Parts: sequence; structure tokens; C-alpha cells
Amino acid sequence: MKNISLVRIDDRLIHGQVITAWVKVFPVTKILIIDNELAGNRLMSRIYRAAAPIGIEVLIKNEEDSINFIKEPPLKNEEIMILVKTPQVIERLTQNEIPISKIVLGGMGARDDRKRFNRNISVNQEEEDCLKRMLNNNISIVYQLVPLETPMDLNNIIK
Amino acid sequence: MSIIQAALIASIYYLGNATWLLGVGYYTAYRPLVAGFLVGLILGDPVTGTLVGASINLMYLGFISAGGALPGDPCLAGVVGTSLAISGGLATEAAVATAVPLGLLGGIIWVGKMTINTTFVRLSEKIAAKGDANKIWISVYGLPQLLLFAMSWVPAFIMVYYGGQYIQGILNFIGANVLGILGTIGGMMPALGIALTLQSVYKGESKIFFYLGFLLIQFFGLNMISMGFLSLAVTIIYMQLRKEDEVYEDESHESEIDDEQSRYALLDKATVKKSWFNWMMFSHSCYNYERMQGQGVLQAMVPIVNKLYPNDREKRAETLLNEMKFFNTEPNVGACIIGLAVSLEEKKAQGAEEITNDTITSIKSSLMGPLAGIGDTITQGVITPILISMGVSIALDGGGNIAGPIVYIISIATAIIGISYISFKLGYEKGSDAILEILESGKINKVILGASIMGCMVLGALVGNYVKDFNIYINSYGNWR
Repeated sequence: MKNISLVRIDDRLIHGQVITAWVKVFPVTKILIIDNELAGNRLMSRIYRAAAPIGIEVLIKNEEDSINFIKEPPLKNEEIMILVKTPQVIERLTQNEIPISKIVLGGMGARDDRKRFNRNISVNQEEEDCLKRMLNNNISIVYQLVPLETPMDLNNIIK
Repeated sequence: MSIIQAALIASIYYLGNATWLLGVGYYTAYRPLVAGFLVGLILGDPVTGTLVGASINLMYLGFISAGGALPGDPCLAGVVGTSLAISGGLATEAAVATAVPLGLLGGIIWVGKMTINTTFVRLSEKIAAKGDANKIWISVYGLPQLLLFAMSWVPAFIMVYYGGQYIQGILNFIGANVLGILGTIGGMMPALGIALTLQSVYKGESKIFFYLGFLLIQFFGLNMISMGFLSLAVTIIYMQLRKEDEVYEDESHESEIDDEQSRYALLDKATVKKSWFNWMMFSHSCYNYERMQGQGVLQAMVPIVNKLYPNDREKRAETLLNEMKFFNTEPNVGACIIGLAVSLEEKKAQGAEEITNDTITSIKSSLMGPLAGIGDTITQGVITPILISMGVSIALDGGGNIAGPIVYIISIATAIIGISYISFKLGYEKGSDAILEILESGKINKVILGASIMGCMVLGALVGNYVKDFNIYINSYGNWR
């Protein structure tokens, strides 16, 4: 199993908070973006690769490939940050025997089907249910934009 | 302090957060170096103001606010800290230490503003749905800026006006011991600020330049201005001698959308410029948790829809409603996204069928993350710390030299506005392929490396200077224990 330093839900994936703050606190060597749609989009893959800071490799894989990849033995010094757009992706990882104990919720932008829920987090019914299920399975989920900020336990927000 | 002085000082805090300073308030009045200088001007002592502002700024050298998260509030710390130092006779170090909790208080104002601003989005939706492009300003910057005024000016006024009156009593009450502790903490804070800044630039091949900067100041006695020019020259020489990196080449360069022709077909240069200006000015005028910069994009699109659909209210409404969706990026480097969106709107209006509202939204939202990452690194991570370190050093070196803030204001405003304009134009005129080509050519990393080298050298010099100041500080407070 690969070494995973951080699992983050954020629909902007790689952006300012990740590059200027998170990778400083979690000095990873790889960022794994798990997204079925992006994995097939060559243009977007190029953009995300170009946006990564020097020294960090960006992998964009669909869910199936990601699961196989994470289950591979770790390379030397390899540390991985996982970025996904929605909570369901992480739930499917856990259903495929990938242990995840902590998730950082960073940003889910407002859309027509979503209701605002906390600050910059908007969710639709399905996403909310998924978050609740994971909380019930004793996965710790915190809302935290940047490492300097005090994390807020989702249990206290979602009630 | 008179009521008028306090009112003016509170206005600096408002302006640092507001949209009116050409959109660069965040880079100018928001910084304690500049705010301290302005507070000093109002109180008739710009030299002390600059000195205190620069000292407070030291701990915010590495300040980065990314994606709507605010770590402290340097502006409130600068404004209130400086005015307490001048009007309340607080020593610089004690002012620095009191400024820290003030900065945290500012964070509460920020969250409140981001939350309440969401209500103006509803109003924007109503106005946009009617296609009343010329009334959008009411909900994009009219009302939100009034709210901001109430939320920022009023508390700042109370702190500055009453704080100045009562601070002496408070200080007498807490006594010399606590003041001594505050002074010591205040003396240590700059080291933290410098360390945080180094986190962004001190890496790889740029490391050695930190020590070079330190040496030049400590043993060769250069002053900060000559140091600045020297570090620029050294950086350029190094970059010229450096071996080229291998450029990442993608085997194919297929274009997603045919971008050629059609620029400046329906739109003229003045309209495009107006759109850029609106973006520069108002990208954060109604920054809110629900749509982030969506309101700013909306304002940037006002001249565009007026030009494209002068007689078609429904088309205007449709376009505006689509453009005001969730959007968040680094506004200056990321200005190319808005430029690109403008060119797509122009093509859509020309009848290009492959461009739908959904295409435009998805192109915008796919670019906003990556460009925020690059943009925050460039503008907030390297350019600002370098220029402000220079400004702070010049200010501290001359015991409150007002050239520090002035040089900083001019250089940062030129840099930021320049980046925004060039980027917007690139996005509009050259399109998505050009943006991608620049991202992949390695030019950006070269710029970041060059800036990191210069940053390391300037910070090394700053530490050199600071060690000098610290010795003086210990000597002059011989009995500080």
C-alpha cells in the first residue's frame, strides 16, 4: 500500500491553497488526482501537470487505476497527496479495501443542484448522505482550508 | 487624536480592504508598511509611522491569503498598531506584539463579510435575469462596499479613537513586566515572518544566495538600495549562465477549440479594455463563500454583453447568469481566464455552434485551479515578499525612511497591474493554447526560480540588517530583563 499523507476533497483540485500551503506542510512527492472524467481529458491533464510545483509529479487516474496504483508497494521516499472533487470517490476507495482514516474538506463550489452548507462548501443530497455515511464509519472528516486554520470537525457542522 | 484624524485612519483600513484603489488595495494599503506610513502622515509623523509599520510588517512578510482563507489581518494590525504607537506612546516592539491579536480579530470581520456578501448574489441574480447590465454595479460593488465600510471602518475607528485615549491607562495597569514580555515577543515576531517567507523561496539552487545576501550586508556594509540593484544583477547573470532545463514536450498539440480569427470582430479594443479594467477593479468587491469571484466576473462581462447584445435583453440575461457562476482564481495571473471567456462570448455571439454556455463554464472552471496555484506562487509567494522586504529594509535602515513605502507602492502596483493587463490580453487575443504553451514551456518556473534567487538574497540581507538592529536593541535596553 502506498504512503498517503493527505486526502482532500476540493473541486478546484490543484490551486493556490494546495500549492502555497498544503504541500509545504505535507511535503509529498506525488499528487494523485482521482477523477474519471479528467483521466480521459488530455488537455486538462497537461494543464494540471504544468501547474504543479517543481519536484512534485502529478498523476491523474480514473478510480479503477487509482485503486490498483494505491495498492502497489510504496517506492522509496514516496509520499502521496490524494485530491478528489467529491466525497463519493473516497467512499468507493474505502469500499475497495483502501484504509482512509482522515479526510480534509477544502472546497465544493456552489452549483444549481447544491445547497450551501458551510462557508465555501455546498453539497447536494447524495454528497451529504455520503459524508454522513463515512462519518458513521468512523472516518474523521474536518473542514480546513489551509493548514494554519483550526480544523472544524464535520460532526459539529452536519447535525 | 482628533475625531477627524481617527476617521481618516479608519478609512485607511477600509481602503486596504476595499476595491477602490484600482484593485491593488490588497497589495498596497493592506500592508503594514504602507498603512503605517499613511497613519503617520495623518498624525503628522510619517517617519515614526513608517518605522512602526515596517516593524509590524516584518512578521507579515510571508503573508499569503489563498482561496479565501485569511491567516490574520496585517492591515488592522498595521493601522491600529501604528496609531497606538504614535498617539499612545507605545514602544515599537510593544506595538508589534499588540498588533498580533488585532490581526486575529480582523479574521472575524473577514469571515463575516464573506458570509453576508452571499446575500448580494441573490440581488445580482435578479438584476441579471432582467438583463439590466447597467444596474449590476449596485449588487457587485455598490452595496457590498457599503457593507464593508460598516464592517471595517466602524471597528477600526473605535479601536483607533478610544484605544489611543485609554491605552496609557491600560499600560499603567498591566505594568512594566508585562510590557517587557510584550516587547520581547514583539522583538521575536519578525524572525517568524522572515522564516515563513523563506519557506516559499529558500530551496534548491537558490539557497546559497541567502548567505550571499547576509555576507554582503554584514561584512561589506552595503545599504539596502545598492543591495537591491546588486541582487537583481546577480540574478540575471545567474539565469543567463544557467543550463537550460529540458522542456516537457507533448507529442501532439491538438487544439481543443479553433481559436484563430474572430478577435476584435464584434468587440473593439476599448470594450475589451473596459472589461479588463472592471475585472482588475472589482474581482474581489463582493468576495463571498458561495460564488467567490463570480460577482467580479459578472462585472467584467457588463461592457461585453452591452456591446454584443445591445438590443437583446434575453441574450444579455442568459449570458450574465451563466458568467456569474462559482469562480475563484488568482485574479492577476488568472486574468487570462477572463480574457479567454470574453473571446469565447464573442465567438458565441458570432454564432459558433460548438461554443455553448456549458463549454464556457467548463473551460473557466478547469483553468481556475491551476492558474490560482501558479498565480498565488508568483504574486503572493515571490513578488510581494521580495518587494516588501526591500521596502521594509529601506524603511528600517534609515530609521523610518519614507522612501521604503513609496518605492514599494510604486513597484508593486506597476507589477500587479502590469501582470493583470498582459495576462488578460493574452487570454483574449491568443486563447487557451497560448496559455497552455506558456505553462508548459518552463518559462513560469524560470521566473519563479529567478524571483526565488532574488528573494533569498534580499532576505539574507534583511536578516543581516536585522541582526545589526537586534544588537542595538539589546544594547539600548541594557536592563531589559
